[in-house]
Amino acid sequence: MSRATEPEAGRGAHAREERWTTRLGVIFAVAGSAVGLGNLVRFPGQVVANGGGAFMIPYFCAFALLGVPIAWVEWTLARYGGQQGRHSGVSVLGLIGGRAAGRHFGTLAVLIPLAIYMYYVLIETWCLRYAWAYVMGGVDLGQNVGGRVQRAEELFARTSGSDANGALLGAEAFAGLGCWVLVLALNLYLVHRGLSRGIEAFCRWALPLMALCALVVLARVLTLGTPDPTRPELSVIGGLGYLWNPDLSRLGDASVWLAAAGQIFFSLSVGFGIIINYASYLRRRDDVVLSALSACAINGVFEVSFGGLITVTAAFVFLGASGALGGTFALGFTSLPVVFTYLGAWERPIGAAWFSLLFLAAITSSLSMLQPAKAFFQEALGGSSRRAVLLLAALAAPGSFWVLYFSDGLIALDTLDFWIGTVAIFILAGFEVVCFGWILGVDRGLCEANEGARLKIPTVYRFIIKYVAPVYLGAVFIGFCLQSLPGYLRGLMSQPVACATLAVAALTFAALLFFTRRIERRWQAFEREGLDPSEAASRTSP
Amino acid sequence: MTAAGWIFMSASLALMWGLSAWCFYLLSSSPAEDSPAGESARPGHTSSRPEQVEDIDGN
Repeated sequence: MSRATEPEAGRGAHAREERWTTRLGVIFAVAGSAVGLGNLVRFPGQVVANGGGAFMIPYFCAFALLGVPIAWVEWTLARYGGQQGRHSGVSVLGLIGGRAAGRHFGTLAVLIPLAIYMYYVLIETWCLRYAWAYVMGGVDLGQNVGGRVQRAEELFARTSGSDANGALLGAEAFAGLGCWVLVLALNLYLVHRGLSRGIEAFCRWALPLMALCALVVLARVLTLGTPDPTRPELSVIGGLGYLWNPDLSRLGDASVWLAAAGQIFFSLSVGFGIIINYASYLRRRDDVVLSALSACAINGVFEVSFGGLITVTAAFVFLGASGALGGTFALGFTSLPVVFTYLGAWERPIGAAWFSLLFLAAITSSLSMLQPAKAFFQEALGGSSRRAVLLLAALAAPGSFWVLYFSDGLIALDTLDFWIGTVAIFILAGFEVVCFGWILGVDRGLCEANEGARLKIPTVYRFIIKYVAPVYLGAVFIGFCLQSLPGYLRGLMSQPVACATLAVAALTFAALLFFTRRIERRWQAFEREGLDPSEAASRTSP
Repeated sequence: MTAAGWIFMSASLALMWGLSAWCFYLLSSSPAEDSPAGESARPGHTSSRPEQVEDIDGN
């Protein structure tokens, strides 16, 4: 292997642009990135807690006024940057948002998916272990009906290691640590294979397979009827009613609108730093408007059709209203395994299909979390995929091991989920909207978006993107901070593990900033040499 | 399940499925994509092959 110096590595390399092979490929990849536990488990919980069917009014408002416009913004900014050979959040946002702001917000666009990946890969591991258990013979929750919930909770605690720190290195080491290594290696391998041969190829069969698994589970759930004739109220129709019967009085409650906006925001993966990278591999004439809308729509189908019909309905039929409530993990990993035990011969196939669905949803999401950092390191290191993936592994694996080790009460996981997976994405999405609407200019931005678009962005979105989305986003963020921030700050102060986890995230950010400066120096060198963007692109691209 | 529940559920499902179907109709009826292998985004681009191609170092 030759040891070219950094600039030479760029000049001498047979640098080739990575591209998506097909339009459907990128849409499936983005939709796969967005579809996850949030759609299938978090969404029905939000519907039940926020007025049932009435929740869908603020939900669709948020979809139209926040989700879709921000998705258009991200796709457009990314393609704009990609045309200049820029694929990392740092260089795309630096191109539009100015060097200093772009540097820090761009680094945030790399940190967010990377830090989320550190805990998300563990959830992926849980899904794989549950799916494997069902394939190999089912999950034994005992014959005693009353004890099944407790045994399901114990099983989840064993799988996640939430009983004690280091639990996954003890008796569960082979399964816990082994699965983690396997999943981590699979993710890194697929990302190393590149966009079209790795992520796109995987998502093109994974997404239809996810839909198939979901349809199998949905068909079984909707044909459950009334399993216990002595309790006729616990029926499929009763479960659907529990979820969808609207409580219109809740529409006057600001927290419902806040919850709907939050759900749309997290569900569509806007502000995660993923689309800003994925869409940068589009070609100039690729239709970002239709592609973004299609990805949002596919995500919505999974959320409303499968999330809105499967989990809560199934849990209600067997466990009643109390079993149908609970957090994402409680509903997905505790209530549903109990529900599956009531299905007799269907327990294994339905359990396997459900957790395979969750695993596939998780893996398509986790791949999307690694690609932005890979592109970032490729820009910093001059295009080598192998070195970028090695560096990515060197950052992601220790961070993820930290979360795996400090598993007691899932504190490390929750800390990253709140501060990075929730607070930071609001900040990044806000910066992107400001970049598009105010720095690039909304008219120029819309012109850019409509380039090559069969479906033009309606003119009303000029106003929405410039004024409504930033205000809506700001209001949601402020409301969110007022509701959740004080509690989290108190928790942070009282939990050393949470503080240390934040320090790990800060260290990761500092390490990323070091590489950000390398990227800046490379681009400055190209500018000094007077290269046009296309020439510079050929020297920095992978 | 009340009538309002049915209406909200059906309308939500119809909206999402309708939007998806419309998007796929537009995607499938739009002109065929250029062959990525032969397409170049603009002059100066080295290549836009679909597969990732390693650099000269074999990386």
